Amino acid sequence: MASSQSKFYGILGVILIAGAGLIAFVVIKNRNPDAIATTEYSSLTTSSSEMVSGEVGVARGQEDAPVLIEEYADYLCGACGMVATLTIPQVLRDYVDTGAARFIFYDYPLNPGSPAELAAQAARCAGDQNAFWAMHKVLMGRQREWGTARNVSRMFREYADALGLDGTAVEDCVESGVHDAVVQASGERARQLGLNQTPTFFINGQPVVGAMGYDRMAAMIEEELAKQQASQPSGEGDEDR
Amino acid sequence: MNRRRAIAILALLGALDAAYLLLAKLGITGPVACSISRGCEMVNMSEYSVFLGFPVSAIGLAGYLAILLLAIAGTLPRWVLERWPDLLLTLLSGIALVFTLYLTYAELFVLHAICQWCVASQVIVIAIFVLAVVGLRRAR
Repeated sequence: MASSQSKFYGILGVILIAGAGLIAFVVIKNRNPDAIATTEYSSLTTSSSEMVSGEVGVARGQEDAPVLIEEYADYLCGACGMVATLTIPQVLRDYVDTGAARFIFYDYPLNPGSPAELAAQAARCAGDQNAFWAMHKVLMGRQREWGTARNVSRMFREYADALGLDGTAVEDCVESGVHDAVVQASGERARQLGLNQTPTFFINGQPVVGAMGYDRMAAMIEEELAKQQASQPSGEGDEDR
Repeated sequence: MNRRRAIAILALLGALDAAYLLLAKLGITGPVACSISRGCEMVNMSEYSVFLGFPVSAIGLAGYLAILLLAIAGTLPRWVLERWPDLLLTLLSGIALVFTLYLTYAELFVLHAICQWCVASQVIVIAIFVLAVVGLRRAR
């Protein structure tokens, strides 16, 4: 009796140690994110078909800005929702709208047929009324609300109305699939780049996978700005040489 | 007796599973992101991964630990013949089952994404519930 009970404790102990060991192994293995980045993006242009143009993204900021931030995201990815509400608005305000950076958002719907594809269209439909970024933030912040709604395009209409837009136009635009093709093309571009996670950022071409806070993104932008300042000649007259 | 031991082992496996998901949720096991190849990030980072302000994996971990302790208590010689461990185990695993079904619904019908570690947890919960109910009926 006592021996069978201690055998039972032994089994529990073995499972606990094995399980904890496995988890520790995974944690340590994933501690080195740079290794992932270099292997995943090395085979960029293996696709035989032509690369989808970067114009499928939605851009904000000056074209000649020294830092280019690209984001690939899905409207129902929680991590994308996090950055869209906590990181991006401040980055847009502090860096993009001041001319230091240009931001391009690319849709990357992870699951075909998911309402995230419709949300991607809704943001672009709002963009037709010059309100892409406002709608983008609302959609990303309210994923749970519209993600579970039976009639998503009606939810999109309500959001648009609340933003002071023509909500009916947005609803019609989503239902008629005006921007369906460009959303699909944007997703295709992400696949051509070999991306399999959202959000994926490229900061001046340097890939960063996963959600990040404002501080980290701001530090990366500052780093790029500092690099460019260092490589530029000091005097204005030096430009001609 | 052996049924309670089986429940304890299952609960320990479930607790490890939940601990892994919780660490992933907190970004310790890698980047916080959603992915196509692995539905887990999609599910674990979705709005459904938080319930009443707590990550569901944390709730699961707490639940599994409670079931684990209860099941171990039920195997101790002083309580092995008692009926209350079966009652409490049925109650706890019943609540866990309802919660699990809600999350499965979200995975299948809302997120359209499947997380293999979440499915493992769902199977464990169902197994624990069945064992607990059988134990309860036998104890009568």
